[in-house]
Amino acid sequence: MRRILVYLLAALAFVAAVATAEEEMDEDLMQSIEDTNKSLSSDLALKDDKAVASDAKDLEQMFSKVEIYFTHRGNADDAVDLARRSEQLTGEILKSVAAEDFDTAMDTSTTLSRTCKTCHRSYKKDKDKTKDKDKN
Amino acid sequence: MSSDNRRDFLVKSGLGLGSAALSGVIPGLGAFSAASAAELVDPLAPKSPHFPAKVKSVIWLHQNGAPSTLDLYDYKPELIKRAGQEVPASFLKGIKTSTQGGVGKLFVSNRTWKQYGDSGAWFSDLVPNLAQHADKLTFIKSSVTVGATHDISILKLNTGDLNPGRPSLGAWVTYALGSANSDLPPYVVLYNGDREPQAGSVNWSSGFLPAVYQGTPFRPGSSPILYLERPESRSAVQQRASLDLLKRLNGLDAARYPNDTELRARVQSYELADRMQSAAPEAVDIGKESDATKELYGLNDKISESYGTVLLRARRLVERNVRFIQVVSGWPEGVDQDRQSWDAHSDLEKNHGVMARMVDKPIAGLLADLKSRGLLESTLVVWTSEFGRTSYGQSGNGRDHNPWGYTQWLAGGGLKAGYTYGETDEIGLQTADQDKAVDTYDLHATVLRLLGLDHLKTTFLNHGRSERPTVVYGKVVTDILT
Repeated sequence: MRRILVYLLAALAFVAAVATAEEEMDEDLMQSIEDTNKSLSSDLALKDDKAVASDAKDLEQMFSKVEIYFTHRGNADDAVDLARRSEQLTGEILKSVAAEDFDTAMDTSTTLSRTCKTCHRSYKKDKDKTKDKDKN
Repeated sequence: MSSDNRRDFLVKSGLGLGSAALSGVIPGLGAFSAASAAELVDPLAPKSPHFPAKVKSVIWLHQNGAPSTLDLYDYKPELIKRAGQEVPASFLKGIKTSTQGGVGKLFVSNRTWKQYGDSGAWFSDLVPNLAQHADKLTFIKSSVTVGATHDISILKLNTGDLNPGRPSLGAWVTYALGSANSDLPPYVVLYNGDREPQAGSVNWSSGFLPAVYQGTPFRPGSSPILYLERPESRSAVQQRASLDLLKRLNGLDAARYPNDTELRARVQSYELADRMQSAAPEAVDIGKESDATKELYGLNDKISESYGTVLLRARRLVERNVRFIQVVSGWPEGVDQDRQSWDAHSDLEKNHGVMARMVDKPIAGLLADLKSRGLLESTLVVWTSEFGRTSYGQSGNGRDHNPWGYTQWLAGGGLKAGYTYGETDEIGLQTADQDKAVDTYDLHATVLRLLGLDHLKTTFLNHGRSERPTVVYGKVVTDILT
């Protein structure tokens, strides 16, 4: 009986941990998006269409995960919209590069970066702990 | 054999013998010609912009510590009406506050406000001299940034990143345009006060760009550059001869280490230092300025004297075609106060009373002086800060940091003078329209545009990655441009 109780408690703890993890955005995913976005920007400047295609496809998949996350989380319609918009912009970048219009693609990538920032304003965990901010 | 010929013989024969020895020892080195020193490509040679520039020089007036533009330029009658009340929840939506002691009640200081000029721009009683130049200024009242500590936000203001390692805006400008005066550094940092800006030299660093593009700080006082003067025991001819030999020897090393940008910078710096010995003291010597000019810059007031001196030097550097002059506000001498910057978490009335008096007349004087000398149209003056201050109070009589909505302004060529872009909400806390938010990257993109540069095409290959001043962001604020 005691063993059953222990197993039950362990299972409950595990479920709680998973639930807690799901409440928060995967920081590794966010970092990957940021790194890939920077790489994309560089690829566009260098007019490397193959590298652009690779990075853009990775970004599309990652933004899709972000969309799924916020959809499941609920009460975050704006974040879902921004994730969809990001996927859309990434698609536009691919189209521009396919047409060899790197200038438009670069402009779109800047818009994409701003879209990320818009979402961060509301949903990024605040790492700017200001306990000592007055002391610089 | 004359001494020059003898020296020439010794150098060349030494180099030749050395080369022969080395090429025998090191495979592949036989092709290296040591007899002729490698001529270095001048990294500071003038370069053309992407399109015609509207301005040639930038004076970047960093107001260190972050002034409350709610007490200078951003008149908010609703804030005055609600003073002493809690901040309504609707105004806090979408932002995360972290004020020590919690969000205070809405705070107003003892200001009177008036409109000035044809533009009708609002100015408080703290800036009566600047107010006279209302129609020269282009306000951006929807400035935003990341609200971290001062050091981090100052770094973002100057380099676009929260971590050290990126070039400052001045370094990018120098990289992209080169120098317009080979006798002076193209990028100079000025400051008043008794110490270098606290945020440090990372704010005028060249980052991953070649070291030659970093800013050169000029100290306050009569000797702006350490060790610039030639020792009395050495004549100008001796110095020149030493430098010529040093240049030849360095040239050999530079050819062997073509990727060593620090070596190139060092070589350039010796040559520049030689030229600067005569050019730099003259450039910053305000002794010959008229009494009327000195008074214009507030040099007759102890509070504004040091900052006014710095701005007068800035004008002289503009006259000598220095590209980017980064001015960091300090603190007037002899004034005793806890916070020696605009950082008024408490006692805002007293702090801003001093700081505004320190900068108001000098900046007004600078604008008037540039205008009268026909320089304003080819110069860009930027009032900027790492963030603004909150409309809610802190410590009872101060304001906390506000990255969500604050004011900056520009003046000079290529701008819609007497124009205001964007606004904050009714209490001056957040940008009213996020689509008009102007981040530091956007300000950088706009400054570069005025210099004739496309921020998307101002790039540098850093370890295989193409980098640009605006990182992955940046949108030119075209609405403020003519």
